[in-house]
Amino acid sequence: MGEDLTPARLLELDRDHVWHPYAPMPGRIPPLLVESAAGVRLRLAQPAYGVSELVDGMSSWWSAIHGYAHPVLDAAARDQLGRMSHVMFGGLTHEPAILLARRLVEITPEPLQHVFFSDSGSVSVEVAMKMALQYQRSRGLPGRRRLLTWRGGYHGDTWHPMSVCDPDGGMHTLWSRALPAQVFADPPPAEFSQAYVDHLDAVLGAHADEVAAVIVEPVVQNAGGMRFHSPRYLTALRELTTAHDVLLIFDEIATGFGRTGELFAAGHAGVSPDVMCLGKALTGGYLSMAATLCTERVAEGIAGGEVPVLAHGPTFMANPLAAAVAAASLDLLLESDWRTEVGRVSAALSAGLAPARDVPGVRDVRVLGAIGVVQLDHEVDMAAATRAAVERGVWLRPFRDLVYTMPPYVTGDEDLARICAAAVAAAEAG
Amino acid sequence: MTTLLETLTEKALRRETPTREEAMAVLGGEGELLDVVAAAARVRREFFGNRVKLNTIINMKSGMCPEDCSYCSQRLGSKAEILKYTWISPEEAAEHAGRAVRAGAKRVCLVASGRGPGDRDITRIENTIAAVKGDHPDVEVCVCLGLLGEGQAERLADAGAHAYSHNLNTSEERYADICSTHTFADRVDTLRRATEAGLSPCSGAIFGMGESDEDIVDLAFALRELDPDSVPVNFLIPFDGTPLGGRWELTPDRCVRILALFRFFFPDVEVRLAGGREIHLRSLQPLALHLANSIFLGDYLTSEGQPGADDLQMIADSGFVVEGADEPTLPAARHDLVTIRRRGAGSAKARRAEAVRQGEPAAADGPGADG
Repeated sequence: MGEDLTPARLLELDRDHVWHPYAPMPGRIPPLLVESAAGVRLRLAQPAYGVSELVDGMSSWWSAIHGYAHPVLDAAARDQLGRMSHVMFGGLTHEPAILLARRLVEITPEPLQHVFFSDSGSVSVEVAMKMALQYQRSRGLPGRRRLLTWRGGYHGDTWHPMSVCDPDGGMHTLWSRALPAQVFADPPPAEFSQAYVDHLDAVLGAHADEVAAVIVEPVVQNAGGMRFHSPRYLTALRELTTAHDVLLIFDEIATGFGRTGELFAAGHAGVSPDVMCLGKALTGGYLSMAATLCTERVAEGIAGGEVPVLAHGPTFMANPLAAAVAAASLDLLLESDWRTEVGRVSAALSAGLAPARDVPGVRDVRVLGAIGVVQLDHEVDMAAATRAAVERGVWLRPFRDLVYTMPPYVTGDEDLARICAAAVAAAEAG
Repeated sequence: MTTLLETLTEKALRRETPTREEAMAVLGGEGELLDVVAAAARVRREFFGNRVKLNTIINMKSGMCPEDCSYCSQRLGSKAEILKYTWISPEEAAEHAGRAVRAGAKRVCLVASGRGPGDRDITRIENTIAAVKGDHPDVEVCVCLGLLGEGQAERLADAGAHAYSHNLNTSEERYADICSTHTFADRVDTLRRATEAGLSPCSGAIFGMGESDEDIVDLAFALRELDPDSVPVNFLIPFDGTPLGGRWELTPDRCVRILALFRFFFPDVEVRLAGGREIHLRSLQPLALHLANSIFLGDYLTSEGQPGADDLQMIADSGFVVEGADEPTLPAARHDLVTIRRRGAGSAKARRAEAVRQGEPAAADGPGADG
């Protein structure tokens, strides 16, 4: 003992040993050392550019919708810790998982009846894909093992989810030749166009014999470029996939739990997918957990096959601690007037980000639900943009040509104004 | 001195349209309700006797619509817990149609949710028409698929569709308030396409969506301009889960006045009492039979209507009879007028429609040949 773990020492150790996301090893831009977080604020262990507390504009990548150290979620975690933090899920079950599954079935579109828990969003997409392929195989169509998606998407960083991320502009372009070859349609236009629906129909029609499922992020393509599209395309996809007899998977990992102004983005269109992936805000940002929901048809189809089991079982499947916090987070959300709150955040982002339109180098400013996006006409200078935001007391994580924010729903009006001012400054600096 | 109602009756008997002032007065409450009914009922009896035409609706594809019409339980984002399904088979549709025909329905309305049909959808409807007509050659088939593209109306006409239905729903001025995904002009365009292809145009309205008396009169004039053969009058069914959910602004009195007004506007046109009659007219339903000459039998698109047996009882109790398959709905003079108008268009489409018609019985002779 006796080691003096000063912030500087910790950051030194971090640089020596810890790999950060989407970063080289060792990292080029030193990360900020967070000591604690409460409400919508991150407390830094040492000031950065003279600032020691940052308003969080990122909800820790879409997840911390209630902010940090929420007393209700803290209590749910402590309460569950007193019982057990984990047991395996093979052969065992527990109340937190059972109640969470029932709750998810209640609040998602009615046809979705079964829940497969996993430990991260990417894995929930892997599970969705496996379900789809196995469903088709079980009904005697083993040739249907490709996925169809539209370009501009993002579904995670593990191998098969990477294969349905945007193959050109996305972050996984390096692997495009090594990944399974999926079928890609053009990116969905923002506004509804019948010509685009016809295009989807043509692409799906040409590959219907080999496609197991269509997988898309409904309404918002997140890390693929933060593009929004008309929910009318979801009704078109529902209809086309039914007509061509392939499954429809909605990846609602980022969009779920109110972020777009509907509890699930599918709700903008009022359609139900055959399979839905959830993650991120599922536990209110407390713990890593994801879920893949499916219809009775999908489950029964697999059960009726040559191999009736879904051979998948994460070690931390249905982790009781995460499940208990998730249930508490859902209660917190649904008992709140979340629709009004998201609307309030949305209006504040619309007003606060509007000045970015006049910033040279800004191509577009768009807001949907509690998501605000400033798109530049050039690759953002991440270090300069981040610094500009931090100097204004706000945590933002720009990437590619985007400065964007999806704050916790509980963010107050003053803090929202501060986030917006920081985003505008980041757009100017970056 | 001639009263307003006498004037309206006499004008209607001459097939003359009311003035805006006269129309506003009827909606504004002028005249006792039974006097209004009596005045419009004279017109109804003149052109339609005591016959009631029965229609049935078959929802070929339910829900999942990309359009955002605020009154509709099948709209984009609807939370209404309605049945949702994609195309039922021609055989299933024919089976439902057959049951309705045996119960007295003369017209079968094939309706599908969506913005408009694709060419594959038209093929489905062609097959459905063949299946329905194969079992019941005399039945009138009306098709309602939304906005029509180039050549689609002609395909439907060639397949033996009798009519095309596309409601204007509300006044042009208010249209953007109830729908953002298409326009009033889009709807008018589709009606024109259907008419030019030789299909009998059916277009009506939905009331109880916040429209003013002026809006109602505007819509009546707009519909008059389209010269439809049938005009469905719907009263909003305010589904929970739609923007207009829980909206109950109509009274039975207002519904009756609207129906009377439409009879004055469309004296010799089929005025059909459509969705919402049970819940808005309530105990005044039988009065409406003295104004409308046509009703839907059984269930609507996504909600249940009153049992068919009750409808038949109501018709008999009120002294009306169900219109037979061999009786023309519209008065003879209207057939002639309609025929002249369609053949007079002079376009390639009109000539084609004419050619299609040559194979059919002469308009006034054939069963149900009111188009």
